[in-house]
Amino acid sequence: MAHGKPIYLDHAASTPLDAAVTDAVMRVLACTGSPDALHPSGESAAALLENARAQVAALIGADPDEVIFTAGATEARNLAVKGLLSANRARGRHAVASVVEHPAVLSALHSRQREGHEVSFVGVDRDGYISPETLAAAMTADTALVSVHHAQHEIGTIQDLGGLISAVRGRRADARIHIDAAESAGIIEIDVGDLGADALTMGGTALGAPPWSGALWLRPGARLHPLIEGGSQEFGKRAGPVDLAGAVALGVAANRVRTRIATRAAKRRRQIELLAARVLGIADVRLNGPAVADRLPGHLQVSVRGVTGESLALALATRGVEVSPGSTCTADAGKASPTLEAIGRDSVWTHSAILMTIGDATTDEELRRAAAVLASVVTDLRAMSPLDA
Amino acid sequence: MSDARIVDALGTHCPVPVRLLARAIARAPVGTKVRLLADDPLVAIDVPAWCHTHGHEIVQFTESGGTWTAIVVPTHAADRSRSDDTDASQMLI
Repeated sequence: MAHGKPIYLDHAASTPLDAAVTDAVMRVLACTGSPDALHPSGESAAALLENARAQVAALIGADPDEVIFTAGATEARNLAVKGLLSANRARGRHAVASVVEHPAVLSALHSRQREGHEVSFVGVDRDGYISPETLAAAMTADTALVSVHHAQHEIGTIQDLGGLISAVRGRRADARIHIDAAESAGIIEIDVGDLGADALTMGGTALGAPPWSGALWLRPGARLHPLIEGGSQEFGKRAGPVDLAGAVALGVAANRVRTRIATRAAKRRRQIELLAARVLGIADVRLNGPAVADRLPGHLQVSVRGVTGESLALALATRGVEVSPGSTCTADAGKASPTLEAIGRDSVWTHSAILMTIGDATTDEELRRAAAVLASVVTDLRAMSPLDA
Repeated sequence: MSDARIVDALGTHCPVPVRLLARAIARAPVGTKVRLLADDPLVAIDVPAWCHTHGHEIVQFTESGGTWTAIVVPTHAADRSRSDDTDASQMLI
């Protein structure tokens, strides 16, 4: 079917780069010199790296020396979970997380279980909220780490970090707390000075940087072992040459959004309400997660009775609308979304989700057209779906 | 030691802890102490040697549970990170 430029609604996975970000990356790629070298070319590269570090730090109210660049948020999550547990063994060998953390956090915790750590996973309510009381109750005298997300990657629930962190500190003041803010940093204001956490993951996509860029903020004294050893790069917490282009992209993107977070969020909130009003008007389409006004701005996941999320995403793509199946990480295995199971959805809805996410350049007209195409695709798929018999 | 700048060198090995200490000292405001955390046993040799060479004072050096903590008072806070890095890189044992 002929159609023009696709309507791209998969910004949580990857987002178009602003010209300022692309230009900065291209300038870095044209340069020679390692930030670790002592000659002038190396010093130029080091200056670029440290400027990027300062830009990322400014976004979250941190000191530049507290920012470790990584290759995307997945690495930052792994570094936080494994690195904090390894370096804080004297505090204990128990960790706590919610059942709806990002797969990178869950997998990192499962790998620690194989190494002898104990892990407790706490459930969430029907909108995906973690209860502070439940979180604290899962802790023991041996709990060294609590890892929770700020905004949930599938259903957009925004956790009350103040309440959660206060509950954790009340149970054990020196437990390490990792906040996964990969979906929210750059869309919601975060100040690590006020947060009371020990580590915070950031991802490039939410900032408008490449998805392979990311960073981990680490509170001085939190104690963290590196995943990759063999050099003093990134304060000894990530050996090997830093991805300078990725770091600079993240820095430029952070600098662009730092003073625009409120307007960025307001636009996304207004636009997702526009989209939701139309999408939820389609018969047997259900919103997953909190009310539209309360969720991560620009983030909408719905389930469509009678069709699978993968079928929907593929059919939409053929008609020029690009979205993500509701749970990308489990779609290949044909499994139900663990997040949707955790919030109590039954199997009619857990396999039929799609995630639509808005970017800085998304227009109202694109959203109106996308909703109309979705309505048409749902009708067509239901007509041929055995699930809808 | 709330007034100390913390350098977390845990999980790194010689010469990285000394490099990180050198970087922190070079950037520390005048009068700021630097607290180094490390779990490479070689810091017991490297850090005193490097501090002695550069004239920095170690006011506390302890080991507990495999973690060494060194509290260093820099004698000056001039920006000398590059030369310090060079010196530290030669401390391979």
